[in-house]
Amino acid sequence: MTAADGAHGYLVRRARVGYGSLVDTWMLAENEPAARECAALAVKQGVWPEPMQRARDHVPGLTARPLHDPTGFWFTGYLEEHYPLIRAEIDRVLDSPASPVLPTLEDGWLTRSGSWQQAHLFRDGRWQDAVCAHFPVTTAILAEIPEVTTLSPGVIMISRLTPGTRIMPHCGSTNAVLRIHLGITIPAGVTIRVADQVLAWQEGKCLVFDDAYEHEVRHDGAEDRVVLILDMAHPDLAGELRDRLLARRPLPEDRIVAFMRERGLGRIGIADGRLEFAPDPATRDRLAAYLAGAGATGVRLDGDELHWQRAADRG
Amino acid sequence: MVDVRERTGRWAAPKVLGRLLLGHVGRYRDGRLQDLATATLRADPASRSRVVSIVNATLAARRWLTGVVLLEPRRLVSRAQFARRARAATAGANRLSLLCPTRGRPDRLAALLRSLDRTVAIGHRVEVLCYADTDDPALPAYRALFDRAARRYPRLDRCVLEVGEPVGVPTAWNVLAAAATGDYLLMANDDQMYVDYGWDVSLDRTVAELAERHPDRVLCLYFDGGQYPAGGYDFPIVSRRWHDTLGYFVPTIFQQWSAEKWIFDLATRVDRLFPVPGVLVEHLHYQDYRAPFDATYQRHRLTREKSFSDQALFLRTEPDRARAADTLRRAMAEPAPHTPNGATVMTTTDQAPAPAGDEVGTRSYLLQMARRYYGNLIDAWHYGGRAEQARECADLAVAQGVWEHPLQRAREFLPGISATPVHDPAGFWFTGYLEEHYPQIRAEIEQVLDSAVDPVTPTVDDAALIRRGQWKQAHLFRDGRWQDAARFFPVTSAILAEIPEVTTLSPGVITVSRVLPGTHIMSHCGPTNAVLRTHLAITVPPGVSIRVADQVMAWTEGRCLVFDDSFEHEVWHEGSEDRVVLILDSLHPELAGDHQERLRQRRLTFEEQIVAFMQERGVERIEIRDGGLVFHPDATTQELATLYMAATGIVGAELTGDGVTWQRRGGDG
Repeated sequence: MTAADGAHGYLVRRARVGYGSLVDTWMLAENEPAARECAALAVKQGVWPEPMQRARDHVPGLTARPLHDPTGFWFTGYLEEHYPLIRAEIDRVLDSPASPVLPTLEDGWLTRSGSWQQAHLFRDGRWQDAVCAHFPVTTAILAEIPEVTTLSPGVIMISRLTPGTRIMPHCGSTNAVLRIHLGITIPAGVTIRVADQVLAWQEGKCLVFDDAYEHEVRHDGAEDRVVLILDMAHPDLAGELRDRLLARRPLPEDRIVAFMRERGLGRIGIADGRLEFAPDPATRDRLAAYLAGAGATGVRLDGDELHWQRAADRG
Repeated sequence: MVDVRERTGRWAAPKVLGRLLLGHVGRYRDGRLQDLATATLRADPASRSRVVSIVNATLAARRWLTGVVLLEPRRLVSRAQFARRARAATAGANRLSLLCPTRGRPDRLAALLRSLDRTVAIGHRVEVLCYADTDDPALPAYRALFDRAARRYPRLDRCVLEVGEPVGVPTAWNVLAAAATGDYLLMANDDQMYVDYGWDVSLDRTVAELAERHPDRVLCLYFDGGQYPAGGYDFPIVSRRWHDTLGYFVPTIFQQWSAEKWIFDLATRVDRLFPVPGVLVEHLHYQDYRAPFDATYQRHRLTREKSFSDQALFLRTEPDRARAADTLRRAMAEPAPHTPNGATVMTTTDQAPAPAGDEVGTRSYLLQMARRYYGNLIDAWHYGGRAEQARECADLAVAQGVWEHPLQRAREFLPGISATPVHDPAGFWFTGYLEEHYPQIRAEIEQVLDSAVDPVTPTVDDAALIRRGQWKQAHLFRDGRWQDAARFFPVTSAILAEIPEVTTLSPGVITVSRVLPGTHIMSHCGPTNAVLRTHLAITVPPGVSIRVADQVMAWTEGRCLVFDDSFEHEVWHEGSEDRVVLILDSLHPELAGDHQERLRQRRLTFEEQIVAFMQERGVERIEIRDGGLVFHPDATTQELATLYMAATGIVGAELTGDGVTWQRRGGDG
């Protein structure tokens, strides 16, 4: 790919989004061979350099390997040093009735079985005060690490998996970010696969990986698994490149707009105390055609089952 | 067509009158007279001469005379003879449902009810279900008639008036059939008159005889009073089993009487058509000089075009009848489920059959998602001019079972319908009709284009497909309705209104499409393979071509091109003047007609699309409210939106083009 070819860049970005959705669909359908075939074709067509690393937002030229050596980052040692304090606080909060660690809202579709709970301490370049209030000790410790806070393009979150949980194979959204897991509570029987390596966490130890590589998690143990997740900019990104990455951190308003655009919504608002959405014209037309085709005036989804509302009997 | 104005002018009036009056003699009632009569009677009241009133007066007199001289004596004779015939009858009494759509003729309907009441031998087993339109000016008279029906026609079990939208006669028959409780369903019309006493017992007897030979009770009958020439029949009677096996009484695709022909055709195919001998039911129709012409006949507008259109549709739907006959044969292979004699089998009045179990298979919607994402991906490659990459993806999709052919990639894909990129226009009756009217259509479109109010404007829907140049469109018809743009094209719209396939039965659009020189519309596939697309070429300069799958073609002015736009297609305009075509969509012929299985499949496909749609968006319920669609998010999505909104103090948002309007706490917009 020539750097000058802007049109080509746009095209490849569209192709990455298309392939990304397609591979996710096959993974959702638990048809891994089909997903692999698509990934292989994408690589053949120059969409990504390798079939396992499939970020929709792919920055070419960054050192690409699934796992990075934690000792290459000063703060992993610092985190491990403070592990007892962090763990004590997290344990206490998780057992409390007011725990802010709740079923994930954004990543729920990746959960094939079980339950995946999260709480974000930091995101979009800002501390999330409501959550941080539960974790003052941990927040204070993390505040000392600019790489995962002021200079972080990502999130800090507590992630809890209940026994029996499966998180399907997926890729993170960008390879410009590396992800650190500090193992808080790790029962036996829990594994994470990153590309072709199957790993287990260790309590009090950090794991650094490139989550743009396909990864999946299996929890066959008997107790909850808890890790603290921290994002940092890829170390190859420095100076202007990193500034640009940070400048792209979304405002909450951007998230609302993205939320609406992803879903084809024209309007969101509250009616009778409940949130209601109205589709944008294109989505409305498409849906109206589906409803007309099914001869329905309304529909309710219950799991994978549709329940129809049809026009009332002739008057 | 007969030019009425000319014929009914001062010059021609006496001649026309004479010719029409001659029609009272059967042997002068040939096809040409029918045309003349129809045209004369249908002319605007303003241009009607006294011819009509004179002819109608003679027709009314004739009807009265027929009643007095022929029908009433016949009824009395049959009544007298009934006692003897009835002794031979040993059959149980079946419950009978007459299905009678009516409009503007409460008096004729009253005459039918009276004739039934006077001729039915066994009381309280005949129900008469009638359908009247909400916009019928005679509705109050109908209501009054039915209010008194129980008292006035005591031998009938019940008379029910269904009032509904003016849906047309065939649909009305089906609505009534769905509400009927009888063992046999009798097609009826308000211009019929039952003459022979004890026709109900004759029917019982015929059915009882047939039951021994055909215990499956898949039967179609007709009353034969000797009034038909050899091989003729009218007004079918079908058994409950017949109706429930097919799932409908008559097909609704026809405008005229092909609906009856359909039933008789099926009955002949399965060899289950039987006369009920010795029963005369008069059909008092003006074309047979048995009734005066009235507004109801006017409304039905039996024009030649419609007649041809129905005939073409009838021929084309032969495969559908073959399949329907197979369905009946399967039912014939097993005995009828036992129902006590005379017992009623209730049917639901819900016209739209619920999908199997009211649910869809768990994950088949994922295939719909894969089609969409493959579609997006392949579109991206085409957009970038990378046909080779696009083809690789399409090949992989086919290898993975997403589609059947790499060049046919509808996002809404129905497997199993025949897939041909280009169809022979001669297989569609309306292409000839369109080509015939091409001069008027062209003249009008040319006149509108470039006028001050030209509604043909740059496309919004398909803008993403334009790689170069400009593409303008105006939709005359879409979403099952005529659009505002149609009023700029009154002549064209009137011509198109005669083609049910592209209007009332159309699943798509009618669009005037104008492509400017230098335009390239990239390779793309239409959204569904359930629809075929017809192009009537209006203005076609040299240097313009369209590729469909692997065929490159040029339009010819005044000619139709019919293709399956779910196949990849592409348009180049290397010419120097605008290219204009009229685009018309019609349902794929294998889906047309009452083809239950295919329609069910199509509905399932829609259902999968909806599941995918809702799953992806976290929408739990969708409803139509105040003409708009409202989504109710599921709990997770609701929380997520709340989370985002809480971070900003926003309580509502509206996307407007590129901008956003925020509604913040405190209520100031």
